[in-house]
Amino acid sequence: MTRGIDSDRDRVSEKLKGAEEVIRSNCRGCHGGCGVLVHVKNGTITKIEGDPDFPTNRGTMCSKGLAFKQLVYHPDRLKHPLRRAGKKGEGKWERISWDEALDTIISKLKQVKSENGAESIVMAQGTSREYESFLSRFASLLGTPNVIGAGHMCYLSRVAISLVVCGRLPIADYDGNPQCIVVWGNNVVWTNPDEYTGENLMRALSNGAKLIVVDPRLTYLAGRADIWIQIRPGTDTALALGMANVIIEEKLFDEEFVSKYVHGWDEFVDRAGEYSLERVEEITWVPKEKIQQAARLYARTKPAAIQWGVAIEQGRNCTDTNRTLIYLAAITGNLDAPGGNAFFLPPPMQTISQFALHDKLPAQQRAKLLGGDTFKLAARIDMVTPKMVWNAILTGRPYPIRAMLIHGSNPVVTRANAQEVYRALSEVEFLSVSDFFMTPTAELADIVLPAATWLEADYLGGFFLRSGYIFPRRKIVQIGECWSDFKMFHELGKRMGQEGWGENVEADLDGILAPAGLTWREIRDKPYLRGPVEYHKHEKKGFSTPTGKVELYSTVLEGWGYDPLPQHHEVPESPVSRPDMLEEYPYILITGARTPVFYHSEHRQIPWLREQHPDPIVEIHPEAAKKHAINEGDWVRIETPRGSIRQRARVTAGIDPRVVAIQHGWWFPEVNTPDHGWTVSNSNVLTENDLEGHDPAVGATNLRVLLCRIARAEEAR
Amino acid sequence: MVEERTLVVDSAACVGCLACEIACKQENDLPVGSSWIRVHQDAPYDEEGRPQTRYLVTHCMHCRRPRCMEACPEDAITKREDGVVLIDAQACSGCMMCIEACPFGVIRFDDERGVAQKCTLCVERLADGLQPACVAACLSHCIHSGTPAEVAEKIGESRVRLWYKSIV
Repeated sequence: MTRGIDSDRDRVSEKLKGAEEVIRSNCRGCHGGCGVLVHVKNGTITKIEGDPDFPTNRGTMCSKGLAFKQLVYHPDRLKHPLRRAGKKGEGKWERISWDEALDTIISKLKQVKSENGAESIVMAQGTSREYESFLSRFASLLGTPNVIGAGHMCYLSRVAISLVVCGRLPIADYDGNPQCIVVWGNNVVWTNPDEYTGENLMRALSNGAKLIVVDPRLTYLAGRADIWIQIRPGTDTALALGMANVIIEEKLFDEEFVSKYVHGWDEFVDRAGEYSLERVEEITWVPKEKIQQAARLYARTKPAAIQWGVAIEQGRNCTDTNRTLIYLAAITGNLDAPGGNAFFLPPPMQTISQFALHDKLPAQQRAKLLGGDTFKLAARIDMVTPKMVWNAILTGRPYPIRAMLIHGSNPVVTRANAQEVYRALSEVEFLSVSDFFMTPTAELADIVLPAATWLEADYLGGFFLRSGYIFPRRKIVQIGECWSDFKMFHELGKRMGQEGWGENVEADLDGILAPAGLTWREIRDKPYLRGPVEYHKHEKKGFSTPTGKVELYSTVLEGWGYDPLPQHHEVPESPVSRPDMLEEYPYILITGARTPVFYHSEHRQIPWLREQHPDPIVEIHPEAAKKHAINEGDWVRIETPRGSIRQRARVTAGIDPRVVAIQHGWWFPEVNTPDHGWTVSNSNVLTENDLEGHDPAVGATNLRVLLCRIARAEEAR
Repeated sequence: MVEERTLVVDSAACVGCLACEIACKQENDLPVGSSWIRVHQDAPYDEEGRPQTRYLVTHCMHCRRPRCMEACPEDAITKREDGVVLIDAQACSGCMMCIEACPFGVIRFDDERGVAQKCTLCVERLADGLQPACVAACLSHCIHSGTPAEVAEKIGESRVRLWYKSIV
């Protein structure tokens, strides 16, 4: 194991003299992973800046991390536990102690568990502020299999399918000096997602790497790319299979790798053969020459890495797009290779699953996982698709859901079919919500818990990532009575009488680190830990799949009754699948394009960030705008059969005239009624969560591709 | 002789992430409404037949002949030996003549204190041997600070010449 470079603290302090104290930590303004130096004067954080010695961000930072001080000290932070004092959603609250809050939750959970069984309690998180291991341990010991997160359609869906087809999620290896990078559905320079930072990508580009970008919108990266593929939204699997077909037909694949390390080559060749350039052009709107050029550039340039993002995961084709991208890396010899897509191992510590004590969840409880019979790949990694929970709350089938504990998630804004989510959360008998601010979701709670940020708790970051890094994060300040969610689960677990928790949270962290022979105190001052970096492991050990090979033909999916080979499916609402809708809803609606300043539904109340982006933005091509007499800056009404919202127009040639792009995550903290304007501009008022739109294996929700109509809105917001 | 310091943005490499703006606001504790470095998004345009999304970054150029300094009736604006142009808040009367005179539109008015403000090239950080906050934060490493020769080495003579042209 490589221990982190233990840059001496004296040098840091000397370099930054004037500050009374500079503490090394690791930002978690998003999924995190950027080393930071936190300046503290008289017990107050005065500045957060990038750590120049840190390998992932090299001193750089994004706007969210740089503004985080304004979140920590925001006057609207929740600072003590609250109990509902009026009707649900009425906005009346009374301050209570932590003891009262925890005892109220515990007595309800005990009641539900004894009357209905633990499965009638749902644990929920959002992107997770890195406490998924603690949340899942609490759930396992409570006895409920029902945990919802974002993972079924974001990142964990990647983890799950890679587990099945090649053993582990392969990561674009920027340190290995890729000569060609394919950025697929990802604006990494604004989002620094998961294992990656935009700094890494930009460094590779300035070192001369070729760039291919697959994106329906003209981002900075799309403009800079050697090849920009402006794809019809929702058709990524067809494009990937079309590229595979070119690589196969032109014999650009790695013959040695294919002969030794893949399972189902002939079947895959046949399947890819169904995706001729002509057919793929018709499906994807991408000129066939471009598909051919992209396939050639990717396959001929060595090494080449694919960097893909959540855009391809939030819909019907999640599993098949994810795995076809892995297959492209495999057949070109870029899998498990330096500068390609590599497998990184963390230091030898407990995995999330081990710490979560998933094996302590009794088999008869696991069998009750909502949707487990339907979404078998999701069940493999203990994920529940949220729609199953809303159904259970609203219909009582297959069994009632009576209590829900939501941590760091704002489902009224971030889950598909927001009106249904709002109804379900209004109806569930007991709801507790832990967050930084009073969100539209928290407004529906019975108990609200004030959560600590990454600057207010000691913990291990990067625990769930596949980069092999572990980042110690430090408690630097205490705000009000805020607790870390780690502590909440620890204390709730103990009060439930759960066995397995340590003496305190630090002891739990020590447990995670125990296999490495380390303790929290030994590592807390280190910038990071990293596991060994090793390539070509498959030459010795093969791949961790049933056949020991990369399964182009997936024996596991076949065993579950799914198509063993990837294929393109039309999304439920598209000009192809629903031509009957086109007269009324003529545009393809895409959602979720990122801004540099917000993280999903977070940060609308942070002054420096909101200043950059005061209003939600809808992107419309000039031709479409002209047709509807929409001018730059006008409020535009966007409608689907589910509902209607308003966002402000950006008229741009950077989008196809047939496509309209809206932003997600919008609510208005400045609106002082308990709804905080969640119906006004929220993309999920427009989305559908009908089960037929979900990915059949992993249960990914279709948040991304719909049909809509637009009109100029006469009223302002 | 003290060497001249520059701040040059290689706009073609700017990804529009806004980190420089927020880093500057944090470093200088700027309120909403005041930014000493600004990232502007251009409308998409074609360059050699290829569509581009580009950003334009504006900031104090620390001009060789500062029009702001010439316009200031209070002599509140000075150019240091290392080329950094500074506004002395104590001496500033808030007349806004400098704001009118600045050809780049990068001097802001602080309503609360009633004075003109702008980029200081983070002179306190420079004194500590650190880069300006915007330079340190920039993930595409497209903001460069140093002597003209140092910057030229990084981004090429031609871009630095462009910068010279703009500040004379």
